[in-house]
Amino acid sequence: MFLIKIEPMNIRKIVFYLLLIIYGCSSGPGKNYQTKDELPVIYPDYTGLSIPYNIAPLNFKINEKGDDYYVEISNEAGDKIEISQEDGIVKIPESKWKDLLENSKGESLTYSVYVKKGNKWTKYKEFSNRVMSDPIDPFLYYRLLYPSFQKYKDIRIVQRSMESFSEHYIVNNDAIKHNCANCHSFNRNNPKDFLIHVRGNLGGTFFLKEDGMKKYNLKTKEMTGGAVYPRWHPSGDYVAFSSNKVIQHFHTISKKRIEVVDLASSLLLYDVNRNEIMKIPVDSAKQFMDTYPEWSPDGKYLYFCRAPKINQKKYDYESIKYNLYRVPFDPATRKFGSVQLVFDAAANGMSVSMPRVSPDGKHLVITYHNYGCFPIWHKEADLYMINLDDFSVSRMNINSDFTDSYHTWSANNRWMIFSSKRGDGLTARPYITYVDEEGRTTKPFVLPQKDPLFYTYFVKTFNVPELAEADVWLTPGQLKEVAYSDAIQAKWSDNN
Amino acid sequence: MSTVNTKLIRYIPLVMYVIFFSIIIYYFFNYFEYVFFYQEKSKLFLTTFFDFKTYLDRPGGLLEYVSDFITSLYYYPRLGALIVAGEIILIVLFSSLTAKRYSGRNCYLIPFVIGGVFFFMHLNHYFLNVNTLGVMLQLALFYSVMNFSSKKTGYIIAILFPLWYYVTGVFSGIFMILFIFDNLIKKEKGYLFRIITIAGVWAIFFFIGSNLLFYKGTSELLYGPFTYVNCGGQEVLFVYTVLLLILLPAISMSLPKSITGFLDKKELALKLAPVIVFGLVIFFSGQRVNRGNIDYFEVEKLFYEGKYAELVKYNYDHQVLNRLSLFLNNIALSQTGQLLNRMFYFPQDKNGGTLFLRWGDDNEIRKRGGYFYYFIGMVNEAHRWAFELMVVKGYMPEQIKMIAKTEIINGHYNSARKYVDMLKNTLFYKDTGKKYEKYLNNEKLINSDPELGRIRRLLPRHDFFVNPEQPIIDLDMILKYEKNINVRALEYQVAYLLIRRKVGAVVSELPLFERAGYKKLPVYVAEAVAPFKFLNIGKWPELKYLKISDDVRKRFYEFNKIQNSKKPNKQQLLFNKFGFTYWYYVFYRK
Repeated sequence: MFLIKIEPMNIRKIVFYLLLIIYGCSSGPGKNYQTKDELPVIYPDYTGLSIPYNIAPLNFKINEKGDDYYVEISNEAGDKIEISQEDGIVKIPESKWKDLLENSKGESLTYSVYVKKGNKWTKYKEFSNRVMSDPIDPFLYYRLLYPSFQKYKDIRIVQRSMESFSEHYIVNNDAIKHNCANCHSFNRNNPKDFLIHVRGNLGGTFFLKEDGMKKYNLKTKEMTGGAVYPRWHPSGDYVAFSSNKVIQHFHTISKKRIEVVDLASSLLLYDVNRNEIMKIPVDSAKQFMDTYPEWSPDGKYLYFCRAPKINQKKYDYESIKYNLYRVPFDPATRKFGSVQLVFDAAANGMSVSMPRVSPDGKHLVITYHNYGCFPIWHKEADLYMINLDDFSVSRMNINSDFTDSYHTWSANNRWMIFSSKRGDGLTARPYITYVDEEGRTTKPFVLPQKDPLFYTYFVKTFNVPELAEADVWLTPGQLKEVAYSDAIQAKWSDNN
Repeated sequence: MSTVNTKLIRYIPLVMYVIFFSIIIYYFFNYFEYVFFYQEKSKLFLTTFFDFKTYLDRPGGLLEYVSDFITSLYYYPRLGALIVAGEIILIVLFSSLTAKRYSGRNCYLIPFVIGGVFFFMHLNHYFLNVNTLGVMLQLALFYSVMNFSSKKTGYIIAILFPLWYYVTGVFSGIFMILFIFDNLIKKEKGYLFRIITIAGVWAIFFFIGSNLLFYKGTSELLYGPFTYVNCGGQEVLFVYTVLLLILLPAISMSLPKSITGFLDKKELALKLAPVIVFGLVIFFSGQRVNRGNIDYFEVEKLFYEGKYAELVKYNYDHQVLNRLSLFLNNIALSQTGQLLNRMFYFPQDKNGGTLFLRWGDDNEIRKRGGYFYYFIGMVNEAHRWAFELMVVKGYMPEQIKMIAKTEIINGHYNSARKYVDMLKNTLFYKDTGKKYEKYLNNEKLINSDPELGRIRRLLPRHDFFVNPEQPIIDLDMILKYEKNINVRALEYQVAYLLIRRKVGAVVSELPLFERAGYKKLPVYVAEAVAPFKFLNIGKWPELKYLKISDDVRKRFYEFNKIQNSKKPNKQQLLFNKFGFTYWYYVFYRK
């Protein structure tokens, strides 16, 4: 039963308006356009990239004034995606994007951007992205929090799909009385071995094991500090930790905000199977501060950063320069050999932190900065690469004028994600770069978001990005169950 | 005549509602406007979809969203008062109508008592609208739904109840209990099944929500968005009031016949009964009138508006003693160049607590303490105080403004833009956002701005670590290392020394006043150093042109004469003539 009687005249009108809606909104420039020999200004800058074929759509905003926008993304075979927008926000349909990339491995994608002003269309200079046939790990894990000073409240450890925009929480500390959660760590991109620290009244180190997640208290009475920065031994049998006594200061000049200084630090080894924790005996005379452990992929070396102990009376924090060292390790006996200097940054008046070895063991990337070991607040911090064949060191060409810091390798060695504050100088964002066999990198690009303007209003920072190959899924119920359970106490071992 | 009387009696309830509404409005308008001011300043409501989504991660989030929207309207406190008064009246109305539905007779007294208690709770500035709105919505929905109630709709209501729980959180429990009560009373076919359904469906939803959907603690899921803090610590009163409200239909039904018969005969008395409540409301509201709060929030309002001269005048006229008021007063004195000329017209904390607030866990301190740093040019620290508060308490209008301003002053424009955009995405701070937007990357405009430009010129060039527990050390560092004398820092440092009665240290700072370009010594500085000069107490620094005026010299000798006399009433004499001098402060103020 119809309330309105539809006359043939009305039908014609309806059809006309429907056609207008369908075609009127998506009509491109056709062949009537002028060309402009300039690249369109787009945000984020997704021009001239090398991208993994399994990356989520690179949505962007065209920052050119216009009344209408039209974008065509095509591959060499002629497959294309056409998008018409009135506000210049280009959201690429996920399924079409996926198909296009799948069919474009090893080829280039060409982006043609047209902008309409009044009745005239202008075509900007085309730009392209190279679709690499090496995939990136399907998941990125990071911590979301305010780039705050002392206080924290909402902390989320998030799993984000690299292939889509879906994300879910590993930890949302709303469920665990706002305890702090940090240092999520995988064993070489493999979430089978996973741990996080939780600090507070529900605190402990949460280890994911075959029979689920369990809470451990790694602090024993023999230890002066707790276990902090973790790194899994490739076997999954051990985790090396640093133990740090840290102090925080606030600067007064506008160029600097926060200084985090280690007053003391040392290295610890946790035997996962025996639930034993012990010193890593690299500083028997207690002359140094050792931090940021990192295993070689074969598990035979432990890399770490070392500086002479701080003179607490003089407290010249700017004179603390960390060098990169390594020490041989025998997993069978849990014994360490003699310490070897890998990179003398102090000789250049600089300091290193956060060493990460590529999974193939060929390259080691460090954060290189003026002093100290907490580069996230150092504007000058850059990424440097050490070739582990000849220990030559080079500045990577992915750095910016702002902090470029914490980095993670993909399992296949070809991709690296690092934290960069180049957007606003305050909040870190994950940037992706391709690394070839020789360690050469391509123009980095920010992790794509469904809303391309996301980074312009999101005020939280992406902390500790970690790539991983498979899914870690913790429901709120599981998280609470582990958090409220009694921690299993680790035992101290002298490892004699 | 009798008909006329009957007609008049019929209108009495309406008159009662009008009177009650008027009483609420009267008190809100005249004594409790600050409640709305405080709450509006405690939450910045953003109109973006992104912000809306942040409310969806918990049961009761949508109710909070609506409540936060309403709170943003408190920008006009009287509008806020009208809204809250309306909500309270609706609670009275719906509880009265609900009781009538079950008992068959009018019920006024208890609903007005409930309304009175809600009004009373609202006089506490920590008691948030979410509580009143949450309760009101349950009653409104229950009354409306029950109008269309049938066995069939009963099942639909029971099945859909989790949705209502998701929207309104713990307050939906009121609806559920009333629904169960309704079914128990009517005992229509399948009533037990409907009761089991509503409770069971909720329990299942809660279990799924707690384990799979909502990253919240169990107690938050059970009680949210109601919290101890959000009801101003009045949770016992609130819970008992809600219990009374829930039990009202049962109470009105179960009154013995002797009472109901009596009530039926006393219709006029019954309808006039709320007058008793009004008397109690007036009495208890009067008890809650807090001059200190009224004064403090008036001072804070003037402070945010930058009306420093008015602020000082208000404090002086009203003899405000609140430490936070005096802290803001000192900033206002400093901003109007009067700190060292008038600070002892007002009480001062002997440890400097009225000059600067020390960093700690008190959010009320964190909310204001950063302004000291801001106005002396320690912009990083001012930014930190505002930022830390944002992290813990969420977005607040003045803190977001502070973050935006400090980022602009520091030249961190890309970061500033985010906070400027936040302001632009609000109902009432749009213009502020647009104003600051013009400053982004516009050095000339910033430098010429009377506030931002001046503070930018005070920015420290020499780096040091802030001592938030001992701000006096920061002042010392600024004065020690900065090439140009930071006048505001100098005045604060000397003010602190004066309060601490460290006159020798003030004397040694005198050359700094010359370097800072003072034409004459500030009154209290001159008074403080006068004994040194005229009684040759200690070493006098070399000064090029600054000297103690003849007037101060004469007055000092006069004061000294009386002080050294043996007159029994000398303190009174000195107070009358020198009550606001530094000399009087040193000798007689504790």
